[in-house]
Amino acid sequence: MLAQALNLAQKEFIQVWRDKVLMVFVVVGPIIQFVLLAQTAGGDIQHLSLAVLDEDKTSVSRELIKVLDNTPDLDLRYYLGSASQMGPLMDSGKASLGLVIPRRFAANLNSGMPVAVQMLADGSSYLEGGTAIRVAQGALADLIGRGALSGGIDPGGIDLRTRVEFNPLLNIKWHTIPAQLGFIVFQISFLVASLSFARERELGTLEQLRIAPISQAELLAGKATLAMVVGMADFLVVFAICLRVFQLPMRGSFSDLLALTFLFVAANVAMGMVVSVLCSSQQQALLMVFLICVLQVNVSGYLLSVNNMPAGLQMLAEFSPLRHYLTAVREIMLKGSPITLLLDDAVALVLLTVASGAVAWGLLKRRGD
Amino acid sequence: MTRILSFSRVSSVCLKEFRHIRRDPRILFLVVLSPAIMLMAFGYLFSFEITRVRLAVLDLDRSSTSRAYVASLLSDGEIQLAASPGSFDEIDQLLLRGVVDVALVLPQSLEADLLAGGRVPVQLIVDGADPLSGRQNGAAVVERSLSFSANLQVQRGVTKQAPVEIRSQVLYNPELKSVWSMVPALLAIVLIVPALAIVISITREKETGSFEGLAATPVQGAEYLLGKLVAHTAFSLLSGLLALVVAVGWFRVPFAGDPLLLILLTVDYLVATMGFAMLVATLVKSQQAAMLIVLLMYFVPSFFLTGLIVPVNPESATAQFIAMALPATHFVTVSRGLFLKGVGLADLQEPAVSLAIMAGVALFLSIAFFRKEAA
Repeated sequence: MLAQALNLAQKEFIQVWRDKVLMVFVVVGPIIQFVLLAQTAGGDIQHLSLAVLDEDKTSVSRELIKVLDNTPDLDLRYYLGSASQMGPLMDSGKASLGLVIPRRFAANLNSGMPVAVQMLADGSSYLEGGTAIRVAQGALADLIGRGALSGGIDPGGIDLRTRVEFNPLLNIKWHTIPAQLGFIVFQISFLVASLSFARERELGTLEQLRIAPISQAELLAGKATLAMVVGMADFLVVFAICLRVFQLPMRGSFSDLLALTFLFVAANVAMGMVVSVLCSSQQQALLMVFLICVLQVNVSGYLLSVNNMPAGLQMLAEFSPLRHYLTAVREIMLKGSPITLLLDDAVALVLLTVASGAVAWGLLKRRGD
Repeated sequence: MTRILSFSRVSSVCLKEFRHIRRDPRILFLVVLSPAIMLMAFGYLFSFEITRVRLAVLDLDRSSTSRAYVASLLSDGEIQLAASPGSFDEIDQLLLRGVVDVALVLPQSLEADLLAGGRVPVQLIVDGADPLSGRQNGAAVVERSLSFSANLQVQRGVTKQAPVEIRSQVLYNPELKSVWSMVPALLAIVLIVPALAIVISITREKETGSFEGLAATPVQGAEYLLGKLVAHTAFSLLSGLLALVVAVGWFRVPFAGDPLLLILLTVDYLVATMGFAMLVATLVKSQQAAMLIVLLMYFVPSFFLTGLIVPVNPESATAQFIAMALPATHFVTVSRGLFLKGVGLADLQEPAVSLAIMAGVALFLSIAFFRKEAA
């Protein structure tokens, strides 16, 4: 039984080896894609552009501007001469935040009259505009609360000292690169598995396989082996690049990560088998893979935290192997969590593998002719 | 055979293509309906609003002031008390297991020091493993702590009211709704899907051999490509209008600009996108390879490298170059500008011209590389 499955797997390997285009897509493509996306994707939401119109031009107004410029999130890029320049800067998106300090600001403040500064944020880019205004409000409110502007004494209050755990500089790459690793492994193992039967069926060679002395279990196992090996090999290469090239921390145990990756690849391959048995041509399989990829990436927490999704989508996300794996890979790499804290995800991956495997089995039995 | 472009030959290819699309339900779905459906799904998925922040408080003071402080943090419901650990180790465990997003340590002398008018250091620990959420979660606590301090000062009679008022205004999207910001930008992504259809259409004719028949007709390469382009652009524009209906009718995104300008610039974008797709289709023989190239080298990068979600990495020249080379980057600017800002053509010159240049170059190259006989 094992020998038969291995024979079939060997045939698959020879086929990929001889098809140079496929070879490139399976081995070189994912790695290039990973490096390109990892290197370029996602500027941090820092150094947002600040435009200032200072009509006061006193040491107090300059202090205010300096406080904003000194935050890592805002950089003073435009120092305006007149109010008419603000509109075009905001319209063109060149400034994320505009600050207007009115005339006689310092004088009024000293004589105890109410004063106001105005801030404008660009809400058309949600993350940039939202971050800019929150940071600026926080920095100014803190400055004002300490009485530093009015030259008075600090009336006291809460002094928050923030410490960021696991990713002290809030480097967005530490978040996106592990996700990219998961995505590449997912994409390639899923794609290879989903083309397996579709290709044989399109070329008419599935019939030959059916009459060969191979049982259905051997057929599925043989087909799955190639996708499993390709997925695991891609993982090892891409993981090495993560650590060597992108200097990501690896705080957990490698064997835990390897075990979870194995479960993850198995779940992808099983789901790919279902697609493959369902589709009658490679083109159909490709389109379906594309659709499922887009769907999974979106519910997986690739960029947006799963915790903030609507409840219905969170339920849907439970069926995505990628979602479970992304949790696991980030927890292990960034937090050093042991596998015992990730049992939920491990069990979910096993269940998804078994369920998809059973569906593929049933479908192949019915549609195998 | 004349070398001049013949209008009648372009229009007959175009007409043939029209029928082709109309009669193939799968392609018709891909071209016309799928962008609107994808936009509907994406619009929900790309909502960034932090709905709840889970907080753990280690209160070493256990005074009425410390309780009042925690209560003020929780008052509007965005921050929820998820745990009350008894030690630092417990906080570490809670963060490690992802049970809480932020943790506060209130020192023993909090009440005494605050009432004496001192600055009391309070430790705020943020889970930064997800930097986007971490930043927003931390800011939520900071914001409320500042107003607690300000209120406390008023209560103690140290200050009457905040001496400086900060009037902040969010332009174009006053309530900072992520949907308003994301849906116009996602329009750029979903409008790439119709380009898949033109790739399939050209490579399928190569694969199935109907190209041979074409070789025998007097239709020139340029006429063939232009005919296809016109037919597919027309259908895509229809799909763009449906997506627009979803954006405005379903997601209630306001449309502040000139609708005609949007249509004009959408055509500009579609031709640039289709031009790129046609170039791939002329260079590659099989449907499968052409589709993979369009998906992996065009669709996926358009998601991540165009400033759609997070800004284009300003430190990487490669990232800047790729962003400028991808049509979607320019259309995101156009779409957000027209929907939310209501700007005119004058403010959109740069993206409009960039798209037109891309469209021209892609078309020129496809025509130059196209070989009727290559079938």
